[in-house]
Amino acid sequence: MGCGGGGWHGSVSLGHILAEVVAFLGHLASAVLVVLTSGPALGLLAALVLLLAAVALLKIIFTRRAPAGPPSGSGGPMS
Amino acid sequence: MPMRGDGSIQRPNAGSVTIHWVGAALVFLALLAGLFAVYYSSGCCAADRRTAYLLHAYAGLAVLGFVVLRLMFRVRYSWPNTGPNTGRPGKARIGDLAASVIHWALYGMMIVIPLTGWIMASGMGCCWYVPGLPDVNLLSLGISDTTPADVGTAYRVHTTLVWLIIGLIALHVSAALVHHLILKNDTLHRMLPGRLGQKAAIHVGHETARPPINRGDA
Repeated sequence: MGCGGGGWHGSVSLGHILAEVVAFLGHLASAVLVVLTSGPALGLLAALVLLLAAVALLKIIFTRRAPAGPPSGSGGPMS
Repeated sequence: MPMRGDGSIQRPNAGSVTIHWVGAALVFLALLAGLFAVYYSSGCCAADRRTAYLLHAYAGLAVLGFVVLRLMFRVRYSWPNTGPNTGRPGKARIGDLAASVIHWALYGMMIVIPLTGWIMASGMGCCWYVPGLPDVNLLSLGISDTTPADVGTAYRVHTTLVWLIIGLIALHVSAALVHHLILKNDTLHRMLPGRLGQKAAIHVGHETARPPINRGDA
């Protein structure tokens, strides 16, 4: 250590690089978290989740209704 | 090129393929206009910068709309199962996992990057005003009005994720080319639009039309 301020003086080890990458990802994750917990992001994500849930629900409803009908023509599981 | 026994390829449905390519074009346009506005235009409020910025903003917002559509299609139609297409199931499984991680990271970034851009556009005045763009805080829908969007944080996230998404797009394109040129499978072909994907004879939405045919029979 001893190279304060995050400078790259002297030899650069894999550990230093990994530490920098992890620190960068940590800062990025915390910043993304701040953005995602803001009002607009929560509103958008809530609306998106509700929309996708509605699509999934409609899919379930319509795919359940389909097998209930009479078998149509050949190729049905008649065996 | 290894395909199904009848020489056809299972494709995603036409809607997903169209959304993929229109979305890709919009992402490309948004990136190009954004980079031009930041690095190549002259002056803060110069006309060329303003034009590039508005193009960037509208293309980015369109990306947000298209990713919502794309996610709706992903929920509505399950993705066609390609199976182990390299002949090396272990490596194919790792490749599938990496592809899934990249796909979902791209979807996430295509939501967060336009959203942070919208937060910035709403929080800054002067020449960063986007005509017709409603205030981003309208999205709060009364859920969390007490936590307004922070423009500074949004800017940092926006600019960092832009470089990450460029890297992910490069990986995504490289993987598609590796599948096409080296592994010689149908991964790229089945996502090609229109006539380019004509080899895909089976076009039945995302659903598996027939059980997989044993390639050993050919």
